[in-house]
Amino acid sequence: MQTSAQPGALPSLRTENLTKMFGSRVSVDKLNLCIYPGELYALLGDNGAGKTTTIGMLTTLLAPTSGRFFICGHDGIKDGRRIRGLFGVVSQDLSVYNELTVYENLRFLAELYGLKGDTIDKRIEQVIAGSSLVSRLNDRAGNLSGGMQRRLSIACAMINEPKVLFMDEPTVGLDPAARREIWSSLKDLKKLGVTILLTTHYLEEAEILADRIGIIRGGKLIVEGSVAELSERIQGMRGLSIKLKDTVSADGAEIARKLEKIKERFDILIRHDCLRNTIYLSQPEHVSVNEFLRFVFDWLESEDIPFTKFASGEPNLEDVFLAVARSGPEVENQSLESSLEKVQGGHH
Amino acid sequence: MAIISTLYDAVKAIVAKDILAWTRRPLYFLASVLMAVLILVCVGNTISGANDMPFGLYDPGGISELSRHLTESGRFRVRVYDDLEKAKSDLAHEKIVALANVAQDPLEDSVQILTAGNNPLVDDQISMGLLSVLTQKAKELSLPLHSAALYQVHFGLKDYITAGLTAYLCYVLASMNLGFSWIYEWMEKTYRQIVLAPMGLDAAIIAKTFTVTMEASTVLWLALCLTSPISGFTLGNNFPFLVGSTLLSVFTFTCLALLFACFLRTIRIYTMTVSILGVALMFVSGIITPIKAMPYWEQKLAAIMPLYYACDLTKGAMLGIPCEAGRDVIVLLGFAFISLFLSRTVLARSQASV
Repeated sequence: MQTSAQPGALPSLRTENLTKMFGSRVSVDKLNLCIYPGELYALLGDNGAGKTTTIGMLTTLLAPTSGRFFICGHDGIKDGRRIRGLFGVVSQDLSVYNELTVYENLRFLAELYGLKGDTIDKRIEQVIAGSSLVSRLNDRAGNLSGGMQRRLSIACAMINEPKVLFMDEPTVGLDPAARREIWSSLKDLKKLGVTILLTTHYLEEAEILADRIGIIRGGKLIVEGSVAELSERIQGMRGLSIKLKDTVSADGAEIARKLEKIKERFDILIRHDCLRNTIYLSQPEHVSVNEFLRFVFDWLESEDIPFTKFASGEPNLEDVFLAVARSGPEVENQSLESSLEKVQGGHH
Repeated sequence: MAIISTLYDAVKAIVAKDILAWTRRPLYFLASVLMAVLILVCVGNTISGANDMPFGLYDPGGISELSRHLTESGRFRVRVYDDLEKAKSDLAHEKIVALANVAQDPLEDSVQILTAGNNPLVDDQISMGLLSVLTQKAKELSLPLHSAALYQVHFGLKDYITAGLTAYLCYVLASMNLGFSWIYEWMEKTYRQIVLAPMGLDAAIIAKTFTVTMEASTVLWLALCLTSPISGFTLGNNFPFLVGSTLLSVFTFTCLALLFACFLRTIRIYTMTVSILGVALMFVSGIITPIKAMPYWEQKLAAIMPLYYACDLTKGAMLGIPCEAGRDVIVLLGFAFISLFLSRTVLARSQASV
């Protein structure tokens, strides 16, 4: 059983110029993916980016307009019926039978996939092992919490031991505790060697779980790589945000005059957010973070600028997403704003 | 062989799951039975005509024997008046629905039937009731009015109406159960799990058609058995024929309902459509009025309605009257299998929309 991604091996999932058009509108545009056994690939994108359409095509529910895809080497278009036993699907909807118990839900799926006799109970034990579902086996699915119902959906999708698992925004609408339980389940699945294609717009989720990330926009895969690789791309996105006290205005003449001293020293981008009364300073190139931080602190002290919050951080996935998915001058602003939000949340 | 085995396993799993789910919704089952009972009792009795209609009789001389004959018919509750003006006043105040004014001159030998005249349905009921009394008692009353029938039957209007309503219930129960069973799967997104399993779509069509047919038929049979002794209609003497005809009718309407579900998709639009269609079918399929008594264009319309053939078959089973059973069975099976084929085609093409 494979336990990690093996780029040299036969891909579990491969797409070649996969395209879907609805009328004249292109929903997925020549998508090329290659996901290896045991890999968790996160497909990130805004609403309407084409994530769910991609899952629809890969699960044979939606016919591609053009292009091909292969699951475990089988042509998904020519051999659609055969590949159906090779994958499982967890959709963002809770697709469980509320009036049946957890056990009955799982047993139904097991029988549907042709499992028989003792194999069914053994398989059920395997798919719920280590989860809170073990103690709720005889409870009706309708009485479970949203998180447990989603966990049951995952168990249902795993009942036939699929090689590939498609998960379409599996944690949408869940509370933080339930999301963490699902993440834990996904990590367990990775250990079992299951290849997972996860679509999400929770960037933190992709950052924590994924081996590789693809960002899709307007149906096109605009960037792909590991979290580290994507972070590299936005080195220039590092920065500082300084939330001023209400006694001074971020876009006032006094602050503007004082900021000139920084501009004289560094070639940086300075922005103001009047709503948050915050100044954003981009990280200058060829200057270390420590040196820049020290300078700004000294500047704040020497110029006697009253501030309430100060944030600095490595670019996170949200920065990457914003930088890549949205081009334009607002990118830096928003990424720094998000850093500030994190400071306020106590993460930095 | 492997395909058949896979299909069999999948069908068995879906049927078992549906039956289990069905037992977990006892209220839904009871509500279905109650609805069927209410339709049989209330609609059947109402359409079959009134009993014990308050009927005034002014015959102070006791010249006619109308009082006895009308009372014996069971359709009228006779109230005898000695004062004609009082009788007319009661008619005007709707204390009686009609007044028979028997001429007191023995030579005149006439009866005037007086009604309020402002309700044609009541007038028709009175006319039909009187006609029934008079034709049955014609010889006894020495009236020049006689009726005869080609077939000597032992059922009344209520039996006739109930047989038609049984066919109608086949439609109602099948479409209702199919809607809740199939569209429920769509709404809950559990349908996706089924169709993604090997042979899942075919298994779902077979299993759902089977379970819905059995569920709806069980409800219908239970309602008929519960209602027959209370309401007093006949179930006929040929029980296997009745079971077979209702089973076939329910199966046909289940297949048609599946086709509707494929196109209508949401439970709201589906329910609205089958309800509206149900009301229309009730009147144009010969359930209440024999199609021979309907306008010509309605007769042509009825001939393309599956409910007409289900009705013909059910009436034959329950009343023992001649029906074109062979033709009815072929037509109903034709509707069923064409619907299944079209449903399969539509579902195979539009799986993602669920």
